[in-house]
Amino acid sequence: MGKTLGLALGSGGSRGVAHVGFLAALEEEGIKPDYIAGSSMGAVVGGCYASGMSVSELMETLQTLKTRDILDISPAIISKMSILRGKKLYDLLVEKVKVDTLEEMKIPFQCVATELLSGKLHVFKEGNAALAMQASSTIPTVFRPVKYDNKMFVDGGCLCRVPVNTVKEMGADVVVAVDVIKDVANPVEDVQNIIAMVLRVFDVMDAHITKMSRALECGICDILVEPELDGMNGFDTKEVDRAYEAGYDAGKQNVQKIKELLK
Amino acid sequence: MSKTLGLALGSGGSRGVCHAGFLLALEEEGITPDYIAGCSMGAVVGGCYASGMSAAEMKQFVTMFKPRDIMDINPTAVITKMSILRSKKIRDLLVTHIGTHDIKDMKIPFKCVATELYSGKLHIFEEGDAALAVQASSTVPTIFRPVAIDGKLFVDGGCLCRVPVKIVKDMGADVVIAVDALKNAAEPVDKVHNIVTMVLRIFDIMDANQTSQMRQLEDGICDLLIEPDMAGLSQYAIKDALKAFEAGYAAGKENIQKIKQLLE
Repeated sequence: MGKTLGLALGSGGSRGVAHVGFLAALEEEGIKPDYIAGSSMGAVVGGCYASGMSVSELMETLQTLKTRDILDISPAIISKMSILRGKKLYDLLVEKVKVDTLEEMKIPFQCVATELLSGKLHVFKEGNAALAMQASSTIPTVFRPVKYDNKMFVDGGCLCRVPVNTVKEMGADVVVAVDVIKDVANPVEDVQNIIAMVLRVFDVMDAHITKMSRALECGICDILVEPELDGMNGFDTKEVDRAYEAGYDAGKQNVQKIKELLK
Repeated sequence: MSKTLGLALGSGGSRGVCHAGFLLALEEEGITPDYIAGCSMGAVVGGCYASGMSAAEMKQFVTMFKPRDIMDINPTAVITKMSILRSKKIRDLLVTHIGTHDIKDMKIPFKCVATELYSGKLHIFEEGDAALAVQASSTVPTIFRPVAIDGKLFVDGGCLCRVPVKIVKDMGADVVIAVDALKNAAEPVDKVHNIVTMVLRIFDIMDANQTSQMRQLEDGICDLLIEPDMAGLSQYAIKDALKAFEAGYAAGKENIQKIKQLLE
């Protein structure tokens, strides 16, 4: 295999556990990515993997993770802008990620976040690895915006669901994108309350942005993998095994194609 | 002038009042649009104009307008009914000022866009209750109540399409002029104060990203993009509406020669 492989792992909350299954399928075939770029949950899974965590370690952590492990309700929801403080999540990332800085990653890794003050997409390429991964996965209103270097970061998924461009620019010859939000903006029958409505508007806008990004980035991505996760909620932590299986199946289905592209 | 003119009037809350100023500048030069497509505040201004309200009447209305004219807070139903306002007042206001019952009967052919929540798709209103269509198009989520029509549920068209350029082209316009009221709405800021301003900021950022992508994809459809200079004006401050009107008027005056040339 002469060509280098870059993976772009997308956002998706607990649906993003599919990325772990996908990496497991590649590992079984002896395929190791040369570059990884992640957004949100894709940054968490991709960063852990790139730092040297194995697929089984990752899965064990996710399966034993309890809601209370990241639940740290904020005393100042309005002024601090979130329900959770996010400190527990940060501590967990520091504990699990096997390197301190992005420069030390075993597989070159970058992740994206939305910078609130400038309004631009920010690509983390160096510095504190756990902080970058936390910033990338800061779901607005749920986790507290990450302040760093006079900037303020929230989830990369607001502007870039799957960082295809980023991994291409890292130098990958072949780009494989894993998008775990395929059906999230599919038609629904009801919208029950104001919170469900705001989330729905966000999903609908995200679907529209992603569709246009794909049209504009046409040709950059060699394979788009979309694991089947119909109906799974991105906030549901009980279905991580199902997400893993869906990612694994999608990986197996695409292994031949990936091998051919890498030749 | 043998070519037909289509105006695409974009969203922008109180900044969108610039559309009325822009229309006044055209009116003064004897230019009447042949087609209008509007989104959100662009649908309100465009719909009123297309049904026969003059730009001068609109200015008069803006001068008299008070926040309490649309304020009908219903605190007990914010969660379940999905909005802070009941939206009955805005509805009554639109019914009073849009003189046409059915969109098809508008004096100037008019369409407007809204976001349909269940399907997640952009919806184009081209027939039926005009005031209701305009209300649906301008339903800022969480502030105004989603509009239910025929088993569908509508919120602001601006969630998916800030300026309906392609729609007015498809209506048959030879020359398409887009007026975008949100030019610098997502410009860098120094501070984000609280959870509400954060959510609004994210919405603005996503909208700016979406609009920039859409412009690339729709490249060539729009003949002239006009972005009135409204730096510092808020989309949510009614007190800024008159300044927006003046900015739209100035932008219209500035571009009048270009517009005339395009129509030749």
